[in-house]
Amino acid sequence: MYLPRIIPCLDVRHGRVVKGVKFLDLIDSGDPVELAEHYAATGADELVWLDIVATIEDLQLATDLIFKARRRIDIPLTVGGGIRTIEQVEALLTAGADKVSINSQALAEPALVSKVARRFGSQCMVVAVDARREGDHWQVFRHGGRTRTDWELGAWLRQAEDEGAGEFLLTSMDADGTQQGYDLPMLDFAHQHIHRPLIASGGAGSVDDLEQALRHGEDALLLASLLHQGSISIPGLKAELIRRGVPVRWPI
Amino acid sequence: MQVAIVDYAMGNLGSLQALAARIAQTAVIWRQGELPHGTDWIILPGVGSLVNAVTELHRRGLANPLERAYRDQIPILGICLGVQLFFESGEEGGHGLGWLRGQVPKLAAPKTPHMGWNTVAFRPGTPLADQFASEPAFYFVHSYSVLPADPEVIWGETEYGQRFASVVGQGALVGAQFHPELSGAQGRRFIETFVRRVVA
Repeated sequence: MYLPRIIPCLDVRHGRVVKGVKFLDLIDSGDPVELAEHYAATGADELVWLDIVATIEDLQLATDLIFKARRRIDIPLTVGGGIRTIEQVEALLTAGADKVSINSQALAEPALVSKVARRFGSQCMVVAVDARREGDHWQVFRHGGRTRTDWELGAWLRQAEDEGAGEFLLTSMDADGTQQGYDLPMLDFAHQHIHRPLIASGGAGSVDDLEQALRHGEDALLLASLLHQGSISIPGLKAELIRRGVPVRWPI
Repeated sequence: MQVAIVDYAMGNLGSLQALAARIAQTAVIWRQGELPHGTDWIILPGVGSLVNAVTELHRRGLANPLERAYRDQIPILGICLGVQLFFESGEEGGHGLGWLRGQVPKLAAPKTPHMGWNTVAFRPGTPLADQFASEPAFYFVHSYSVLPADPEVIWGETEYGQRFASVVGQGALVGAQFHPELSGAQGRRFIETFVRRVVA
């Protein structure tokens, strides 16, 4: 039986965790390798590591940390944030990332998606998309949601799949940070345009939200602030989902 | 024990090296030429399509030594593209090594690649089956799957759009369509059992 993926997101800047898990004091320790290992050991199905690779020094720092993390975790790892070139992709994959996630640069240079897919396989090419509702449709934004693009969501998803995207990470800017539940209408719309796996992001605030999205048919959910607050852990979430009759991977 | 991990530029090897370290195996990367001295078993990994895989094995001079290792019954664990290489031919004109009879068709599922955790039903009586209490979940990433001509080589099956062989084995040759190195504790158990039952 295919089991949904519960995917914690690590937010990393200059080698430090930006938002850690409160009850573990990981905000203070700030070590992303430690946090990654903790998530993997407690039942995360996969990890997304978002780092801003703005300079050569950032890239070196990121690859060193990912190399360390790879040796301590035994689940898949996607790394993204500020990737602009195929050389950066190669450095991150060589360090031990299983997939890379590209957002803004894919919009600026869609051919980068096909280059990565041809060279390393589409299975490692995750296209991340940030979108917001505008009247009767959803519009794509870049630069962390700061810049509006000319792309309508469905058109961009189709284009990215044609370029070789093996998976999508779709964030609803409307739902993100609200903790009011995943943006199911936007996710339904997105699925109509693609034949690839999709990780739903934005809006998770409680077990109810996860249950609702999974029952609705989503099969990969990104978790960020919900875990960072420290009020709930991955085993806690999974145990509760199982108790409610929603199958997830267990034992971990 | 020493494991040689075949490197033919079809995917990175960091997670396999990490796995080898976790189960106390000495890992050597086999990039070209003869099988590294002292090798007890081999991992044939890889992601992607069969089309270029055999060409790349030949280009690096790995194909013939690998064939000899197979004939000498050195245990070989094929992972993902690696298990697909055991078979005769793929759907898009690519050829495998032909050690097991059968094809590698595209997976008939609405959403590919098949990416994520899925359970494996081990066939009772096969060498790895009794190590798992219920159907364990492993991490998959693939768009093609193996279709053995001989059902006897199927050690485990998985459902995704269709039912497919997710574990195959014959003698010292064992293949998994999933990635044990990315499959947490169950993946480790799978490899440890393989080492104990097939290699040792």
